[in-house]
Amino acid sequence: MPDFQLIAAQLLNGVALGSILALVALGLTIIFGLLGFVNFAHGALFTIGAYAGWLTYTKTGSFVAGIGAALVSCFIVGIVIERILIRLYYHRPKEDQILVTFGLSIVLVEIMRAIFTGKSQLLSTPSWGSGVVNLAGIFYPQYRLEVIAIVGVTLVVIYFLIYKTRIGLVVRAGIDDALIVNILGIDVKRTFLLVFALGAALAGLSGIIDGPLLAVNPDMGTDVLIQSFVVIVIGGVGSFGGAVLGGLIAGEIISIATVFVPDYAQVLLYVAMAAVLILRPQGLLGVEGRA
Amino acid sequence: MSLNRQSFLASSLGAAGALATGGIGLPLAAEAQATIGNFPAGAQGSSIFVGLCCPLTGSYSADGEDQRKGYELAIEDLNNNTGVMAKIPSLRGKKGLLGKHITYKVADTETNANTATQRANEFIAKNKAIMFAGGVSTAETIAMQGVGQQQKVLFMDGASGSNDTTGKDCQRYGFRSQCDAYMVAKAMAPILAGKLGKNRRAIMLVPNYSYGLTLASSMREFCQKEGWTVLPDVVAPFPSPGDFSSYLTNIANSNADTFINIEFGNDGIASTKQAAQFGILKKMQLVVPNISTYLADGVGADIMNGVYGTLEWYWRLQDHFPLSKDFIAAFDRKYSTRPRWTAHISYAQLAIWADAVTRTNSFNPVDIIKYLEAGHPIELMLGKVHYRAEDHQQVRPVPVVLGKPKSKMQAGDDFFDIVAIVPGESVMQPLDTTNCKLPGYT
Amino acid sequence: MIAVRSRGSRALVALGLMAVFLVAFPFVMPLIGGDVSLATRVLVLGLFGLGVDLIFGFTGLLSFGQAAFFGTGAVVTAYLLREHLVPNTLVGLALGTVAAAIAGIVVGSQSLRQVGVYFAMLTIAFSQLFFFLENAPLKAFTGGESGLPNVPRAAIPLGFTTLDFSSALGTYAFIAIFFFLSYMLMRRIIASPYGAVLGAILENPERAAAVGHDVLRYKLIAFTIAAAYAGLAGGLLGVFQGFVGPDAFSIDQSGQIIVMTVIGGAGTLVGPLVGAFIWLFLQSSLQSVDALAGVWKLILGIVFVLLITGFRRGVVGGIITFLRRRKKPLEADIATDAA
Repeated sequence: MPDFQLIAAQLLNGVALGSILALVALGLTIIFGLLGFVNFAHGALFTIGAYAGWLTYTKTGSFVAGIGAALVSCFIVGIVIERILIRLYYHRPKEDQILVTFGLSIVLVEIMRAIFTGKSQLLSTPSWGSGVVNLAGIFYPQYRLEVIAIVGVTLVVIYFLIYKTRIGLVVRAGIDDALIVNILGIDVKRTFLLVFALGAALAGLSGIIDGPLLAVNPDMGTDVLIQSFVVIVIGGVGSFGGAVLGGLIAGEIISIATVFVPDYAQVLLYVAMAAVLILRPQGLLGVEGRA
Repeated sequence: MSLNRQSFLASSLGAAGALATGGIGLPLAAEAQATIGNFPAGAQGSSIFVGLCCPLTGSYSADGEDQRKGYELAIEDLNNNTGVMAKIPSLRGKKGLLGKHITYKVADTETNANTATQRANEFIAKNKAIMFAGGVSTAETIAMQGVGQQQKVLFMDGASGSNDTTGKDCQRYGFRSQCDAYMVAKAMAPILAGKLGKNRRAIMLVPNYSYGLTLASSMREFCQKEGWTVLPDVVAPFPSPGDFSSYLTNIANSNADTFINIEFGNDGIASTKQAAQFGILKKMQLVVPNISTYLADGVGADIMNGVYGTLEWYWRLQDHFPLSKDFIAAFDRKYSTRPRWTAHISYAQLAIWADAVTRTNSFNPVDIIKYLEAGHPIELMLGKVHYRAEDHQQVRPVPVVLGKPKSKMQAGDDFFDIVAIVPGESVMQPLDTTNCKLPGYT
Repeated sequence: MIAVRSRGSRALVALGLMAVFLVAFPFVMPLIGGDVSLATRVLVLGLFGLGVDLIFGFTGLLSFGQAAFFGTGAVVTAYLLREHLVPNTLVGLALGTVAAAIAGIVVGSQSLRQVGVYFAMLTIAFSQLFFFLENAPLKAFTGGESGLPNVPRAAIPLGFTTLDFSSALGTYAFIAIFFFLSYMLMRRIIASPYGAVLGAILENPERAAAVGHDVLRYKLIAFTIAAAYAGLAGGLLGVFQGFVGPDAFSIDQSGQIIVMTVIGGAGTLVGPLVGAFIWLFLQSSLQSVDALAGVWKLILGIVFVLLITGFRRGVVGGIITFLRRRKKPLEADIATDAA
């Protein structure tokens, strides 16, 4: 029987890992939940954010500047691809949305490879993130605990934006009934654009936040996309709480499984995802009818 | 229309059958004379063709780029009699190979074995390649060795560190120069014990695939021989999870003092960075038995400082082997950067092949294979190396290195110092354990 | 979806054209800078695509996990053949196909309860499971990350002699026969009453259910057939290139066959074949142009996005629509709108 200390450490890790997964899935769940649009380019946007953040951090020495760069660049990329491509697809079948964003992700990743080569770039944790914290005998990376805080703040900000502001109200109304909102004279197209760009920006944010943990290279986003699906499936589509819950559950599944059956930890996640999709497809906190 | 459906079907199948018989019939006539693969057809003009299959996209694209550069420099040097090629005794003063100009093409394998196979087959069929080379991932290399064997065209392996390549998947038409997992482990263990002591407790992070598992089990075997205690492995899934935190939590909470990281490539980078964040590297000595080409670049000098490992080849070997110096100089002139070990493999393999061709005065792959199997040593960037007949594994030294502090780095890629150059003979895998049964020459 | 007939002059013309194409293909290829092996690979993927088109083009099911069945057929056939556990190539292929079909029933019975994105995500989850199984617990059979080399070439022992298909042209012929028969069978399936119900499900699943069809059962049968086709194609891949590796199970492989189907034209049966040709041919020839060697994938990606956006019916779909319009403009528009 593994010792209590190890299990406690893994439980903590589950929360931290879960926060990272939740952050990564957040951009996807906003676009999917609010616009009903499946964005298979989510992993590519994650990668763009990581590169933009890395470039800025390397040039300026400020990780916070890197975060800003990731947010801004992905927001802009989101606007560009929405205007050129995505807006043509809102009324096309889901399959077409999947296909076009899948193609788009190939294009974006190959552009990254052409600019930066396939070599992994050095992205370290910021100075305020290095170090190990001792929590009652459990040693845990300071940076990961800080990520929990960052994710928390981000969720609060997003929640506030969507549910407590006038823009958010328009967004939600526009999603519910675009025609009426249009008749009322409010520009629905701009709303959709903003939501998409916001989702893209969040993908980029997760890229720079997760970047110091991973190898920064053009292919880093592939796993991210699948992980994000797992999270929102388990937690529930169209729900921020779902993204958080899904992330935490996924994080705990991996962490606890590593104690007992380490080489099956990843697989258990897919099993869990399949199980949820079969038994309760809208996920734990999801709203039925979306997608 | 009164076309009878049945008779139509019959005739179309008949057409296909005729096609098949034609396909079966034709080669029988061709094989009547001594044709082996693309010999002599590919060597009858004033030039010969070498096919290069490198992963230019996909997860090994960085290595693939380095690999490509090594090949292109080698062919340029062969055609112009410059660089290291000019210093090889048999090639002195000769441009081209046996008087023929070498032409080549580089194809992208996409780090995908199926694509690699297709490109290789095309080089052989369309370009009449007299030899082909490349591959970085194990699947690519093993697949292409198979193509070489099947088509009877010589394949000089690119990067491949798995025991299987000269083990259960060995081929008569393939030659592998990189040190395999067994050699790496056997070379490292005594050095580690010497430098770090004999009473250590090690724990390993092992990716769950053949290469990872065999390297881990070899490390376990040889470290235990040195008196080390090796704790149960922490096995991570393959393909990797990207985030190793749950596995590193296990490791951080063990009482080991030595952390052996078997993860390779981008997984090696991610897991090492994360291990540093867990404070593991402050508590434990890090050992990376097989350091991938860009690991140090990806994790940074601060983390690599004090880490022991092996590199297939490293530029500082120029202080030990004059041809390394020449190699680096020529590479730097052409590409404004120093070569990494994938480029070294590319260049060295082409050099060995060119030397064999010249000495046998033949492009016939059987002659070349037999020459290489005879184990004639050739002096290259790692000193004298030769091939072992029974499994086509190159007998070559294993460089053991130690990461140096940032302050001591004299250049952007000066991450390591050489600790030892372990002679290859002493670390070869015993032949009765390799499971290699080389198939025939024809 | 393009209507397909299984009998009558239309069918004969289609089959005749296919036969002519199959015979001419390997000889035309070298003339345009390709070669026989590329033609064979096009056929293998075209056969894989027949099944994908059945579920995607004719039933509207977008699965991102077909590689699981492609890979299953590939490793089962390859393993049986190289270990000499079966008397000849045909038995090996048959068993690989059956194994893939069984996998299809297992995955389909769970996944098809969902539709749209959920269905797609389920197929991804299952596909990742298969990939994991291939790499780790079953690696003694599948070769793990090294794959299975030394898969014997096609040969059919006839007692008194053995038909040996090991040459490049012989391998092509062997696979072309399979492709032709599979194509003919698929046309039959589509043109049958069963196929008509699939078309109804594509258009309006609720209506089809309301009329009394067991939609789930129809989808499952289609899914299993598609899995069988994928498995046969996988087995043929091993026989063709002498090697099967983990890439056959990868999500890249699943994505690739979808891209090929869409580029070529979903719902046309020959769409995947055309799409495979375009993809593989461009991949091969763009690399000869030095400047484009590293960016050919980027170019293909852009082409794909443009095609989906502007030319949804793909190459073959576009050609068929064009031909229809020339003959009977009004009816062509009605038919195309309905599709």
